[in-house]
Amino acid sequence: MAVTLERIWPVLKGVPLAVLTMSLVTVDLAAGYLCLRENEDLFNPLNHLGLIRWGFTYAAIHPWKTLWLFLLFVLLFILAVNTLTCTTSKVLFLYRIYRNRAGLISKLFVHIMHYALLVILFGLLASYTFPGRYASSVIAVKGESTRIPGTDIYLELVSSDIDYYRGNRLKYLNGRTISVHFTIGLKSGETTVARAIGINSPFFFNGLGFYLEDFGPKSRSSMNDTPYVRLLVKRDRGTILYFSGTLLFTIGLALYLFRVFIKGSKPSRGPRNHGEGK
Amino acid sequence: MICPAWPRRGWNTGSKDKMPSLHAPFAMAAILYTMAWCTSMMPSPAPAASIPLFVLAILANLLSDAARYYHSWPFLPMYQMPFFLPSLVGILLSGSVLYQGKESRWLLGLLALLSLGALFFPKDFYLPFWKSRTIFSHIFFLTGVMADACFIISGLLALSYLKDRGTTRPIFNHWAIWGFALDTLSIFSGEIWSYLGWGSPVVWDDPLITLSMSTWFYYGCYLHLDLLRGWGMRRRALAAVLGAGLVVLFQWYPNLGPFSPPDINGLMRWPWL
Repeated sequence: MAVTLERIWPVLKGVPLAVLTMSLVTVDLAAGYLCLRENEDLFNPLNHLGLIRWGFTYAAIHPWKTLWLFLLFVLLFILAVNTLTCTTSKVLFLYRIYRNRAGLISKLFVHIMHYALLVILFGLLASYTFPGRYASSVIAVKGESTRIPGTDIYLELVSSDIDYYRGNRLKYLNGRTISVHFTIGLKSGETTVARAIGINSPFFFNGLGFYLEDFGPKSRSSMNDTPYVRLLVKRDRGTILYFSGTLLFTIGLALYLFRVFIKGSKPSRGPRNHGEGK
Repeated sequence: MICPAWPRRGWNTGSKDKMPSLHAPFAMAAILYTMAWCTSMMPSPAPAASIPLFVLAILANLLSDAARYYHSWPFLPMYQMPFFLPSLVGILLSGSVLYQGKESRWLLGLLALLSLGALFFPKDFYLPFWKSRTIFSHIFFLTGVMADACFIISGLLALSYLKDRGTTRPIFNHWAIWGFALDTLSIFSGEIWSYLGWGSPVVWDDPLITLSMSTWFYYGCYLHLDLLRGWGMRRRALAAVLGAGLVVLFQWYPNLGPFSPPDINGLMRWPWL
């Protein structure tokens, strides 16, 4: 066992494996484009069913059309293991070399991005493996309270503020909605609150996210002018992880660019060690 | 859904409104790019004429970009990437044309091909949709096109580097790094937009998302090549040329539509014609 690990370890933490894996991911995603283009309806439910339920239903019926996605997960897993081992060994190496010298921090900028990528991948995995969606859609109208299935939360549309476009610049939008703001009343046990929701403006309550899926009326001349909203209610367990990773990656990238273009360092990452670590 | 009032044949198809076609400035830009390319290949002193033609082409292209945004704002102009790309590539590498650098002919040729492709193969105009009304959708689009422009320039300079047999500075690497940074910013903006609008960091409805990710991973791979044994500057230049080809294939080509000749009547309604 120890001998096997000794042989695998240098391969596992090597840059050649990272380059090979990323090349294969490039090809796999291009193949994914062809599969997705022809079968959007097959992949759309992945947004709300989650990976496991989707895998046992849609993907099980169409294994060849969804193979690229499972191959992508395998490749990303290999890339994650490679990034973790490679980056950690490199960081430890740099720490030993630069422990008592200046410049250690600037050598670590690129590794911040590597760790951030891992955090993003774990966040996405958590988000899609345990989606925790309560209902595909909850419709709220004025004067009627609707219970969100699986919870003790009741919601109701309290007020709506719809702006219709008038003007010459966007003629195709004349008389149609340009912006909307709805107020939703929520009741859970003894707690009663009101929250505002709009396009790209969700709200959160009791750990659940509420997103505007659809609304009405969409135009001034609509046959039915009764305001309604259709909400997507979900608990995303990966949100904090993938947004933390995104922020960390952005910071690492900004510092890396600063080092390369402002300080004028070489784009390469510290001492060269061909094929031994990133 | 095809936009009823933003078609190829003017702003108001079927109406008596004699507004000029929105495509006119872009058609003008494509003609000027092509003329600049042709003059750059003629014997001296004709190539000097390519400079004013190039400047006019960039101005016409920017006017086209501004018009597309003007008729969409605060929403995103959908599927307009092929019209924005030539202007950004041209502006970023304008120094090469203005100072008659050795890449100027290739650049002008590339701009002519990109603009003619967009002119003759436009995708249908789509009604902007409500969920694109956020700053993140605009950052996603603009940084994405800028990243593509940087990748294409990187490939062009790498080609020039290969032609010179590695005697010039390999600045194509820096363009690839900027492209990667902008592409990352575009993908992260798309992630935030997707989360705010759909409650999910990736929306599996748009196949183009996979091609964006594919390009990102390719350049992630490219940036690690300098750590590999045997991957000198020449091989990396080849990888940069391949990357530019992938950007054209993965980002530009899917945004084109079927062949459709430009509307001459719409063009003629512009004051200068």
